[in-house]
Amino acid sequence: MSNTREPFEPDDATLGLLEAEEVEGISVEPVTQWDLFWTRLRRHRLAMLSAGFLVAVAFVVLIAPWITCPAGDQYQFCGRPLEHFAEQLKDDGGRLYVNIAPRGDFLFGTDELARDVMSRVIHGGRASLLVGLLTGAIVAGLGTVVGALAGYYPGPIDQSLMRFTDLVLGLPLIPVAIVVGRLLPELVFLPEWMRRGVWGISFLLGFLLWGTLARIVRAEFLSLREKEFVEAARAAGANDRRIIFRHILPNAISPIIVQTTLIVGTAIIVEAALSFLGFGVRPPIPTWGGMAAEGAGVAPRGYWWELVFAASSLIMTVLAVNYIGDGLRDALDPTQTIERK
Amino acid sequence: MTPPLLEVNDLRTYFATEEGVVRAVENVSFTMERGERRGVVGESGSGKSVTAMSVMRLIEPPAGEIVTGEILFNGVNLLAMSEDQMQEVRGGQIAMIFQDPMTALNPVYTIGDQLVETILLHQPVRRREAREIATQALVDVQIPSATQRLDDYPHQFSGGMRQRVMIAMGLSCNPELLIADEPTTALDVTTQAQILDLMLKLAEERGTAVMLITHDLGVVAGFCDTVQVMYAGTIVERGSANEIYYDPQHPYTWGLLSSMTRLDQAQRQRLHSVKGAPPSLINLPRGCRFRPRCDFAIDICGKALPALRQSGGALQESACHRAAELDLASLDAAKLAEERVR
Repeated sequence: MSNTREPFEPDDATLGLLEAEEVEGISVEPVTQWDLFWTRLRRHRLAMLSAGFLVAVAFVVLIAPWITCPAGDQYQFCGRPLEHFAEQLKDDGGRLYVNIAPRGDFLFGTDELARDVMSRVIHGGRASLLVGLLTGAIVAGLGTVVGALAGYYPGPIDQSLMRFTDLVLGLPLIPVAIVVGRLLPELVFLPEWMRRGVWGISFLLGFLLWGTLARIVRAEFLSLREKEFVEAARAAGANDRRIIFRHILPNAISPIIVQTTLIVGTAIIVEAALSFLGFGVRPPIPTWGGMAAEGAGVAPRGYWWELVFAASSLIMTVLAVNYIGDGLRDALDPTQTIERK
Repeated sequence: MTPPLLEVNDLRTYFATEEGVVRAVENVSFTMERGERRGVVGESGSGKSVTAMSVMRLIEPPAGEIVTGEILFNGVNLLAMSEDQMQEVRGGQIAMIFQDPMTALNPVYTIGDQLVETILLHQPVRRREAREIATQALVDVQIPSATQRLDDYPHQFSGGMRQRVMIAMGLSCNPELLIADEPTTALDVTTQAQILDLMLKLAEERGTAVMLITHDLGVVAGFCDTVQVMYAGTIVERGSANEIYYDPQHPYTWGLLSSMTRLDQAQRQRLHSVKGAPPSLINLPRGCRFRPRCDFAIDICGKALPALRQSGGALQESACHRAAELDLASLDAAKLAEERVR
């Protein structure tokens, strides 16, 4: 074997690079924190996969009115006119369209009331995602404000806010949610949209779940408020509001994003648990938890599909949300070494 | 007669701690004229920074509190101002440069954003004009390709460059007083002089008075017109830089000066040091606060706290009972150090 090397002859592409480099000198495109964040997030395969899955779920859920039966609770499957209602309830063998196993025209089968399970799963996704996002938004708002005020103003404000937070964190989640969820439809002073459906449950879960985020934000503020750039901002004439929201909050945004994402997953699970127990979103609005409960009722008789499809949708969605949370945490933590997942 | 730029009368700033009340600044009075360069020197914990923070009213209760005193800025008492009025003063008429440029800039904003924010807070200009002012401010502090660097984040700057940005920020609103709290301590020795030169040149062009807080006596000698030496929360000596350097009247000043290494010092010669450590600001010694560490203490020093009295040069004042009788300038500190060891 010879040790001689081919003389280096740059091809056109290399030449182009070399020229470009000469024109640019040694200046390098600045890499911002966001660039780094995106690079790291993109390398987190599970998180990207989960994000893709959730986007697909969200898309299907958004176009639900066009691809499913209205509200998913009609006693028929899609595409058949309502006037033939009575005829359609019976299939070829004279049986009702109840508890039909998955097949070509009912991909997920039908339930005991002859409802299309796929339509209901999709509509149930609407409720679950909405509860998750609404609860996340409420938690992000409440937890951030409480934590920021407590962390920025030491003394009585901090003490009273954090003792209140301790109180909320001390409440047992499921029992309190059951009691309030049970009472919710009867609280006549609330508007109708709050008493039934996803809004009431979201507010309830939001008010029960903000405690952890408040503690995290407070801890961030406690350490950030002592930083010199905060003092420099004060010395430059910035007022408290400006310091809290413009100078400290952006520095504390990473844990807020991560924790809020995880809360979205928790909210979806807790809502499903409540609906399973019959205290969440009320029928006939379909939810994954409620469908799982119904499915569990008929599963012993061999009608497994409602339970399986509702439960697996729930599990996959929550898993996806949690993986995104993991990915965000890894991507937002600059001290962590990049690791392929 | 126009009032002096800054007049501090009988300032006391205390901090409440678990162990007791820390008297960080006690009975401090001084004045500064327009355009003056004042050096404030002293050990860590001597009250230099707390004095500056008190002037900016950046002492935060409940931890610390300005107990008594008056801080007249252009004849107006800053301590009587509302927080809103004070926010106008901070960054507008009085600007401050901090010790560590690595942490004094907010990491999540570009330096352009931060400069523009400061300018918008204090000047009635639009965002675009503010950006032009910001660019000019960066040009003034000799940052190359200022327009592009405006969109860079703090982590893309070196320490010296960041301190230049801080200076640009401090001077962007043409303050009348610039307080620089150890602005070069965190920097490389080679960039220290550049930064100080630049800061003081720019301040002079704008007629800005500078209060330079430092423990580096060399810096003070090179850059300041007047000096005040602080010890345990009080001013122990003040005067023009020349007076203080060539004819120190207070044993503490003398101790500080003679503990500096000198180029003309003989090899292997013992370096003078001020013996002991600064007193706890909670349990201050009776009488003169420097007495336990003083080589020249006599009976009266343990009984009465000396007041500032004229001694030495025309502008010089010293808080020492024996200022008049001691001739510190002619003492050989090195010999004293040798003797002390024996």
